[in-house]
Amino acid sequence: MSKATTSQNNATAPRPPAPPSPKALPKPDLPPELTPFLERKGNIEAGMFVNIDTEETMIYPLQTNQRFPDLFALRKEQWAIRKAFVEMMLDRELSERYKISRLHNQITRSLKEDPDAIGRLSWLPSGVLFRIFNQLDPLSLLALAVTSTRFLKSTALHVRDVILPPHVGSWAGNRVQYVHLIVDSSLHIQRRGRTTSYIENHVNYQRWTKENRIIEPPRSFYLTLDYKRSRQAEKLLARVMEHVERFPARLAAVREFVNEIRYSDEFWLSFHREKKYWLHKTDNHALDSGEITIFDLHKWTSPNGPSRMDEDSLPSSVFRRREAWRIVPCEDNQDDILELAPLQRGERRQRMIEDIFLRDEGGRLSKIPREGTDLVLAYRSNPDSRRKFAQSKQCMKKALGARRLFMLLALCWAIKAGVFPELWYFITLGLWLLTGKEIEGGIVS
Amino acid sequence: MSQITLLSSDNVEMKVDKEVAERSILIKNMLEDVGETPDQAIPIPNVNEGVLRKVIEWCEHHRNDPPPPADEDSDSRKKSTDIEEWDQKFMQVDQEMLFEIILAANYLDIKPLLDVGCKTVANMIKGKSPEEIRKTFNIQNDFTPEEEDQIRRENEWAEDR
Repeated sequence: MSKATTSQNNATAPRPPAPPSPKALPKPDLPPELTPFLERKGNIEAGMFVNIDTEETMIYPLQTNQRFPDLFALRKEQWAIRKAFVEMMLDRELSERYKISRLHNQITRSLKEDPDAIGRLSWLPSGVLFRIFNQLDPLSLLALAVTSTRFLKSTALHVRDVILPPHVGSWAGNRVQYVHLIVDSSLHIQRRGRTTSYIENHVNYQRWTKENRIIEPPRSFYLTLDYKRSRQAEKLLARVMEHVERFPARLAAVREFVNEIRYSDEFWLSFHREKKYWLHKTDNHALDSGEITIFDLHKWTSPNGPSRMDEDSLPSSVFRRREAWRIVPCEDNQDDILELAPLQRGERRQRMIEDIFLRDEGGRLSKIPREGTDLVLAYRSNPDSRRKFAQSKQCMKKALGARRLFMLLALCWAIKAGVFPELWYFITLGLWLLTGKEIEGGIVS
Repeated sequence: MSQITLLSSDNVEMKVDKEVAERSILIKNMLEDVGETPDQAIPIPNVNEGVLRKVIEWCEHHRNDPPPPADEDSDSRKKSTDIEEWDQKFMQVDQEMLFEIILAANYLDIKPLLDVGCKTVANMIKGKSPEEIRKTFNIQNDFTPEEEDQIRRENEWAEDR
């Protein structure tokens, strides 16, 4: 964000709230504990980050109503920021790797490659190999591990904490989906097993496990640090980063980062739809005017992202996804009405809304007991109802056709039997009695 | 200064100062067990003449170094690039010799030399892609295409930009 933009945006807003006290900080090694919404009434439209691995959700933007966020919101926020930093540290690690690579070339330039030394490294004693492994940074160790089966096995102990789950780049180990959802008033939220989760979340989770998962990182996180609070912010970050070590991140890099922002007034870490992020610093003016609050996520989670995105400055492609954004099809007989819709897919969202409205007309959706229990209700599309609706329409068409046919046959019979005038008389009389209108050209007495 | 004789695997005798030879914990323990300087050559069956000379050269240079810390793990995470200049030059040999020195250091229980060797190998690994590591160390890729594909997918995050 440019300085001009920042200043313009910060013209009228109040000063940012005080940062959280260190005592109030959550344990940063765990995702926040989420209080379930026991009941949500009315149609709610919101953006939601769903951590597919933990089946937890974060509703964004955090609704703080200009007040200092409560501990619950703070926990979620801290968790998100920590995760974001981990990603950044991964990138730092890669940078360091390249530095070391250059250094390595200088050191080992004169080492000759000997074609006769066939696989000598593979057959070093395990004690020696372990010493070598201990000297390697996590990424190099990982690279060595995947060279051959032998190394994959021999490095197993060493890389156990290094090999991260798939999609680590998206949410530092957790698969995260950003969904734009509309919750209907009749949706019931229940506790399922040991995990507190929304039904729609669970249902979507189940569906995602069937299909290719859609991974979408959070759009952005924003944190403001002013000069006076830099010390406190440093502590906060240091505390956040204490738990990063289990990921392949060097503490030195963490410290470097902390040191870098120590004298900064603010920075924001933003995610891009393409899983890119960048670190952006702004000046003091933004802080002075105070429009950008500490947890002003709404601004940065808008569908189009922050204004004046500098696409060219987006760094790492480490987290770039190759697949295009896809939508999992919503099929009948599945326990869902919540279609996943990325923010920018207006048509999809419109369809979702129409589906809900259709309930009043054709019984598109209905609340039915889930299998095996009467207590848990799911809100789902009801194909039976829709089928009946379609059948009744077809029956009406058939009935109309039958009446027309009967009238034609009666007319033919009357002509043939020579009673047409009488028949016509009775028909017009009957219609006159029923409708009060005389048929033009009727029988004239 | 008393000297002892070492006998390489190819039956070449080499005289070396006792103090230098005792950089090897193996030899040091042997000498302690014997109790006095032996008249006969001490056989080093796993190390040939060329490698033994290199090892002795290293021990000569480091004869006055303090003994390594007892807790060897404490230093295990030291950066691999922390290799002294002399040691870097010493390790500028072909891979065959490098691994022979490492094996000899391991056999003779010369931990500092072993560390230098391992760090050198680690430096050769660092910053390389799996394919580059395979090429450098002549490692045969024995993964099936399916396994390789799975590994690639799981570690996609670590791919080079």
